Amino acid sequence: MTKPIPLCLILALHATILHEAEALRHAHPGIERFKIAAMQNITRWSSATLQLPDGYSVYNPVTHSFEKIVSSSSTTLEGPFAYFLSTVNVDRLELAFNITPLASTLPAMEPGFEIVVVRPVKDPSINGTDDAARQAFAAKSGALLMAAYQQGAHIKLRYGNDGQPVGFEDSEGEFLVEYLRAPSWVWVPASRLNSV
Amino acid sequence: MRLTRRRLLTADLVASILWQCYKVYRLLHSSLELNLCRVFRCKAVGHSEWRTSNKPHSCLFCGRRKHFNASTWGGCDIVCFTRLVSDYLAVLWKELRPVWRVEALLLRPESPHLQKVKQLHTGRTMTPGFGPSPGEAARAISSLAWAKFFSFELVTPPICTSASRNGLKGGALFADNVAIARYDTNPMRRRGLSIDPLPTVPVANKPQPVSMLIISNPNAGNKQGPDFIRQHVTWFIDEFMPPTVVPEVKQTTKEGDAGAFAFEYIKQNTGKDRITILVSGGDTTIHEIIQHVESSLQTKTHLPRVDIALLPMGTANALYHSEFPPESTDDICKTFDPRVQRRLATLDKETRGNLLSLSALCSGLQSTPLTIARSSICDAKGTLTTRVFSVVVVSSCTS
Repeated sequence: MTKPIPLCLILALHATILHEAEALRHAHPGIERFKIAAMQNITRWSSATLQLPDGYSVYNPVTHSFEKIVSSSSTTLEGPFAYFLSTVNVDRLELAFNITPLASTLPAMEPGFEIVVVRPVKDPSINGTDDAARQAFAAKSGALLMAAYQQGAHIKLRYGNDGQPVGFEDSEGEFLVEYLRAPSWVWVPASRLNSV
Repeated sequence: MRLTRRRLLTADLVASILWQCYKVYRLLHSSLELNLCRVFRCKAVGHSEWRTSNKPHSCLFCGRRKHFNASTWGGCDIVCFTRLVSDYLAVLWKELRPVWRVEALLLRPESPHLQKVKQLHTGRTMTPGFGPSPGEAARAISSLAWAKFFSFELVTPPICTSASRNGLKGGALFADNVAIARYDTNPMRRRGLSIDPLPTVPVANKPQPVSMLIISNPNAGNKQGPDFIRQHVTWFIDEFMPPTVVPEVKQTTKEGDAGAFAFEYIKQNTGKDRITILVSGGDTTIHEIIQHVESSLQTKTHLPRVDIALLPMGTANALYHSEFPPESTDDICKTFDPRVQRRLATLDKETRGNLLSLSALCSGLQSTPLTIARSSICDAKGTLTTRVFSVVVVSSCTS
């Protein structure tokens, strides 16, 4: 056991999955309950701000390395968030669900959080946060989660010109996933009523 | 000094012999390449005595690679024997009555024969898989002359145990190429047992038992944890952990038990360098332990280092599969002690995959430091409401 790391609280799709999967434990004792919970909540977004007060590094899939962000104005990520996950010690949450694959393939030198963020605002085809936008983005979230089962391929998915997820070499658009590393973070919900 | 079967064995003599057997076992056991389970001899040219060797596949007397005959038996019996010796020597010293012949069951603790013996002598069944108490063992060993299942003459060094089981006619036990004990089971040529020199009983030097806590969550995952421990973990610890390790199993019955067990165990071992906890469960069980221990410790001075081994009996087992990815199982196995590797190779893929953490522990590999995240959850006014310690997913839900 090593020293504890201070941080605060997170929310978003993954928290919802864990919460509702627990309610499904009796009906679905296996890992399929996580997938069921994910599909039931895949249209939910969380309005919040992610603060990274001690700085962070962001993964660049092109150079396959982390780039340290030092600007103080860049240490806040505005929502809404379709997916947010923070882990320590692990590169997967199930046998094949490599959601934070860089924890093992590109291990950090210092203890810290592996953070996976998906923000629909990065999608060039999404405007607004209404139900239509959420429904349209749900398929992309689903594709992203399924790609995580392919040796963590989700971290290299990009938006194509039409906003659809495409492979690393098929587009020069934004990456679906923002993969961060940080020693601490703070999640500030836009409204308590918005929380999951 | 020469003994025969007709001579009375006093308690101190029995204990002396046991201790010498134990010392020889430790000597042999310290050689990784030594194959305790095999004896080679050139049967064709009349080499009838036995020796153990660290050079398999050749006769141990003439070194020839031809003519030898390999006989194999389970080394686990020997391991169990030495566990009994190391753990119960002091009790034997006090409780054994003079007997001319003592027979003991040296099968694995879960053996139905041994279970039956325990029932007969104690009126109750054994704790599954983890052996009798010292008193039970002493009573069982000292009064099993009637046992017919598998006999062991206490005057015989352990390797000769299999001699009588296999119907062979003689044996010798060697240490540093010096015969310290010989035995002939042929009644027509009985020479008895000679032991030279006969040591005094160094009870004060008896290795101190080392505790090991096994926390078993029977409701985790597909609820196979307790069965897995009984079927695979017990003998694995018996075979590969030092004989001084005494495992204690605690089974959870409700939420919070795992954390309480671990916390109590750590408190009991304050001042020690390191302790071991084997956790049979999933990520929730691990989280419960970390949460309880981290939030309950008043002080973090004089605490032992805690080595945690995992049995992946949960649903997702994220921490286990991250440390031991299934795609790397073969490479991971190559880092283990050769004896552990050989044993794992005899198991099916699933069982082998579940024993990797325990194998790493038994092989003495360096453990991975665990990062613990502390989450502080505040209400809308910024007042701290909850503090959570995590080692896998750092998340929480609020309303």
